[in-house]
Amino acid sequence: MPIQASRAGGTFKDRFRARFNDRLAALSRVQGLLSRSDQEPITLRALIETELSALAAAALQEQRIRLDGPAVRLRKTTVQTFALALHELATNALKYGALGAPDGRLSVTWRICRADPADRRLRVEWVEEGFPARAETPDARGGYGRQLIERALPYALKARTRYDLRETTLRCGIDLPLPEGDAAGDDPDPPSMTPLP
Amino acid sequence: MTPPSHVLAGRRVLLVEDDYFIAEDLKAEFEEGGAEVLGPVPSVEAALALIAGTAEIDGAVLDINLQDELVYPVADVLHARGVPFLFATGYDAAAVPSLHGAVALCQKPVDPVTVARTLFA
Repeated sequence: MPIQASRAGGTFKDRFRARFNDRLAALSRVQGLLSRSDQEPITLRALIETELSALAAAALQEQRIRLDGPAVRLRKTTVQTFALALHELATNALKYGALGAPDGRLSVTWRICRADPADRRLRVEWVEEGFPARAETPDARGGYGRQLIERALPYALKARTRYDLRETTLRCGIDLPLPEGDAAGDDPDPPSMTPLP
Repeated sequence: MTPPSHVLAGRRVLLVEDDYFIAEDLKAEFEEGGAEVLGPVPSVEAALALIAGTAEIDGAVLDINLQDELVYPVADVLHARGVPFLFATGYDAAAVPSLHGAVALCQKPVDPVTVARTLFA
């Protein structure tokens, strides 16, 4: 029996292969950063920029993306899991959300919070706005990506996460422990992307 | 040969694995085989707490490389308690310096059939 072609284009197998290859490519970009990390510590901004330059160069060019936050170095062990989460968010934004819509906007902001000296946390907010409302239910968007954020990040990184998808907006919050080893750098990252007006 | 489900049925198996998706798959497979899964837990700290609070553990599967630590302290505690366990790793056996009392070293992915036969047969 032939495998039924889905309306998303291609067979399930084709789509599986495409997404699998996408994830491998994302991991190999991370390996590139990791291989240079002794000379050049991996910052959150570098991780986000690497992923967005690969997937959403056009939206970057059109200045529909805003990145804002202090220099934060990430531990190698945090980088891989976190990079996969960013990859899923970016892929879904391109497919269903702000990066795929002409007037969509993405803002990624982060800050360091310290409830007490022993509890430093990094709070990342991924906010997409201005994508067209769709007929699909919110659950249609990224089963794997959502599971990664809502379940895998808490499990592996002790993160607290929130994934709030509405008709035309997505707000995803990721809040994870930031041990002292993940020091904020002395010199802030240069703002290589222009803030939105 | 005894089917794995008979060997696993009712066994209390501790799973230590830092990757959420692998951990969930393992848990589901062991439960299908009739085992009672303890955990899964992603870290040495969580594993030691779980072991300290659990009177009966029949066996354990330990991923060697956790997020930024090695699982060996967990192996030592299990060994001292006389609980059989095996290591699951993506590395070659030669890269693992010592068995720390493990019954075996298995290449990932480990399957419950192999685990059942190795630990309980």
